[in-house]
Amino acid sequence: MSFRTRLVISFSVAVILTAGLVVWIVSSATRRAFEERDNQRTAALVALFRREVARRGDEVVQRVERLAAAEGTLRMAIDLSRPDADAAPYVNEAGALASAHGLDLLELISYDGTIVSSAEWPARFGYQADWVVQAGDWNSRGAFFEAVELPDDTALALVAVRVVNAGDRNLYVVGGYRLDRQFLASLPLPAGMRTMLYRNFPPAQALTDANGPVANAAALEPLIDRVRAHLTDAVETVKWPDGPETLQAMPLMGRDNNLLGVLLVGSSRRDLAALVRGIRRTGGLAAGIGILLGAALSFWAARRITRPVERLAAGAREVAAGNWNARVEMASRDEIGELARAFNSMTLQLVEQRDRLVQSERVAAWRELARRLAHELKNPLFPLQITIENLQRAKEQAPGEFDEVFRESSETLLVELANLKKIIGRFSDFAKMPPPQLERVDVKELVLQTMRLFEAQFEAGGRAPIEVRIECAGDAGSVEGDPEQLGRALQNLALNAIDAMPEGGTLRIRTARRDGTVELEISDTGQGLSKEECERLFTPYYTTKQHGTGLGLAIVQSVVADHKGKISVDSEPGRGATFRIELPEKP
Amino acid sequence: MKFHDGSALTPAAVVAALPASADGWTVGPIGDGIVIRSEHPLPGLLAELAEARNAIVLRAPDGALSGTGPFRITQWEPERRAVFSANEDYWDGRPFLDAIAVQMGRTPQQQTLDLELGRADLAEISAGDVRRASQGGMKVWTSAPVTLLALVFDPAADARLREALALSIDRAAIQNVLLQKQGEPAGGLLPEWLSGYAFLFRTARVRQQVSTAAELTLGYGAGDALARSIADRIAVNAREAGIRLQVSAQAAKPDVRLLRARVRSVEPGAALASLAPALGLGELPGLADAEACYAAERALVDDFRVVPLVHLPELYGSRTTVRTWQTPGLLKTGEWRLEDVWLAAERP
Repeated sequence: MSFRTRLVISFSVAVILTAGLVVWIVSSATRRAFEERDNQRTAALVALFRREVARRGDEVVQRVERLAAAEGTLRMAIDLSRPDADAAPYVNEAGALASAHGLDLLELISYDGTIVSSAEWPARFGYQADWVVQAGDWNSRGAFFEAVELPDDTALALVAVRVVNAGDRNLYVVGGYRLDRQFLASLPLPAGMRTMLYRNFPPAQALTDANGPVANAAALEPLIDRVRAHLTDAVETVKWPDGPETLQAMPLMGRDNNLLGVLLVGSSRRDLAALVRGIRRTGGLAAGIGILLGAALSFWAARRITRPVERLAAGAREVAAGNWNARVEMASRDEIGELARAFNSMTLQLVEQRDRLVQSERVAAWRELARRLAHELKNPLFPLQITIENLQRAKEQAPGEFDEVFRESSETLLVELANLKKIIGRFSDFAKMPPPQLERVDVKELVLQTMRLFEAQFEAGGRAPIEVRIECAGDAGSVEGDPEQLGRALQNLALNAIDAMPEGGTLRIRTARRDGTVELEISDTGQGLSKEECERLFTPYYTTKQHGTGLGLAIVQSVVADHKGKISVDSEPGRGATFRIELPEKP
Repeated sequence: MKFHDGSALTPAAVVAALPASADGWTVGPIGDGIVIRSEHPLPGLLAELAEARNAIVLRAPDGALSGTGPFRITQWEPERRAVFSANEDYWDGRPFLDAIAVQMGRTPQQQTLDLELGRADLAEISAGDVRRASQGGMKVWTSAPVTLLALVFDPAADARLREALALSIDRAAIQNVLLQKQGEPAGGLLPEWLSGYAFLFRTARVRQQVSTAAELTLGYGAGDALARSIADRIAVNAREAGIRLQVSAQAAKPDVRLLRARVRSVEPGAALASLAPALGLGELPGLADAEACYAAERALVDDFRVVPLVHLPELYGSRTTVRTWQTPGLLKTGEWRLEDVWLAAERP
């Protein structure tokens, strides 16, 4: 993955995270703010609802009080207070009075708790309602919730009781409103709110609202159960398929402080949810645009940052390719510009150092050449000098033997001159190394032909035996090269190996093919080389032999380099040496 | 004596009006009279002849009826209105009223309202309106208790439930409150004034609880407000016995029905026999004397197939201008002697 790609990804991730964080923070803050407002609104509406229920209670009390204070009621109370009172004429009074006073429920109960007349259950006359008689001062008490028995049901009601005094016998007036669908529907509720009523008594502990039984009432059971368990208000947010709803549940306690029902006020949060969704959608859209913009800017910034780096990299590649004069043009004054300037300075210094190194190496080479020439030429020159001095001495001191001395000295001079010629020929060969004439060369064939040249030398007597092992199993592969130069390089290596084993040993030549490369190993079991010798082995005119020119391995390295190959040596003192040549294989 | 159409009342006309053969007897003219022959004694013959089905009338080809009574039909609109005009040739003297217009299909409440608004001189009223009518200055006419209100069980109903329900009913509360003390609690099918043995039947309430909760359907006549209120009260009583009674006027096949049955005869056997069909009991054989009637009633009541509740009188309210001459006007059996009714002048 390129630096630019990493930069783009890093910038993009940073932009995405930032945008997401901003959207999340804005969304959360907005949601909290709206939730707080919604909760305040719900609380206000619930308070309003409580006041409305209280107002209905006051209304019930007023109506029952008005009914109790009516003249007809007083006459009835007086009539029923007589010892021989007949309640039968009043059996239908409650129904008429309830209609006249706008009450859903009304019962007229005599002093002994006997129901005289019942609007909600006319047939219940004559039965006892002892709880009315047993209670205390009804006239100072407000409305309360009561479970009222009906012919087919038991209803939850908001009732009030007032007492009509007729001598020492009272008439109790019990009136109220049913808490049913109509009651719930009559409550003033703003849009998005609803009320539900749960009856906490048999026969059916059902949950109803203004439209009838509540669908999915099971979802509200936990909230109702909490109210039933703790007898206090409870709030819960229920998630419906069409949106969440905050529900406040209030216990409806009866006159004996028993839980008769639970009133639930629901405030839909669908609008709030839609608003939050809208904010999130807008935020998401803005974040998306921001991310796209950020990605584009990231790409631009990354490109702006990486372009100088790429130029530097290109410059570095040029330097690596040998163009030490490569320069990176950079006008900026920032860190990258500083880096480019440092790079240019570095290459400049490298060039200068290279030139100095080349110069010093050239001097060193000339010195080495001079030393080698002096060394090589000194050896033949000394016999020449001795021979000529012998000739001069023989001429002066023994003229009769001069001819014999002259003949022997002439032979010696010719031999030494031949040596000088040979030395000079080697230097000449090294100096005029021709470019290789490339053709397909079978490596195995090359090895066999080269080693065949040494067969006579190996078979000659008078020296320690050398065992030759050629390991060229199967096809050793081909290379594109000059067979004469390659053969010469191989000959040099074989000669070095033979020279390294004056007391005999094993010369092993092995070929191998590996990853498009042909390997050629020539190893001996001679005295080996030290580490320092290995490092300097391919330096021209360096030799470990007493009479070597130091050009053999230099020529080998030059040939291998001309064939785009590599040569290396692996050796330790006493363990022989292994020269390894790697040449690109020609398919 | 003449029919309303002017034709003479002859033995032949009487024979033609009566069924040719009924209850084993035959009718034939003889001189200025008729003779009824039977293979066996007919103790209820007079009561039978008094039945409307044995009325002596002439049926004209167009269906018009002509009788010999004090009023003749001059206008007939089925289920709506009928006008009866005085028969000038009535054999016992012309009636006091020139004509009587009868409005039909009016509910008891409408009739009471008509009476209060002066749109009617005489109207049927319900037991619950008696006090109101009296307090409103109306005159209340009451017959003897002639209508039985009873529960009749489906024969398949559980006997224990029948008994429990029957014993849970507070007849006194029904009679005192719902009927405003009109009528009388009924333990038997025939009223005391007619049978003389009705006091032998128990009417008191016996509280009894069924072992397992039961539910029954109680049917009553649609539009019968009194029956509805009585049914509701019975449902309240039944609840105490552990029976949930569903009151419905539309139930196709209720477990128990609240029925009205009118006594049609002053002769106990005939009266009991006339009650049986109305209660869906079929024919009651062997009602020759009071003992047979009592045995038949006892068998029905003790089995709780029929649970008599109350006997209701016929109740009428009238304006104070409605007077009668010599007779009480409303007979004990609930029929009116309209030829003796006259209207006094309104007091200013």
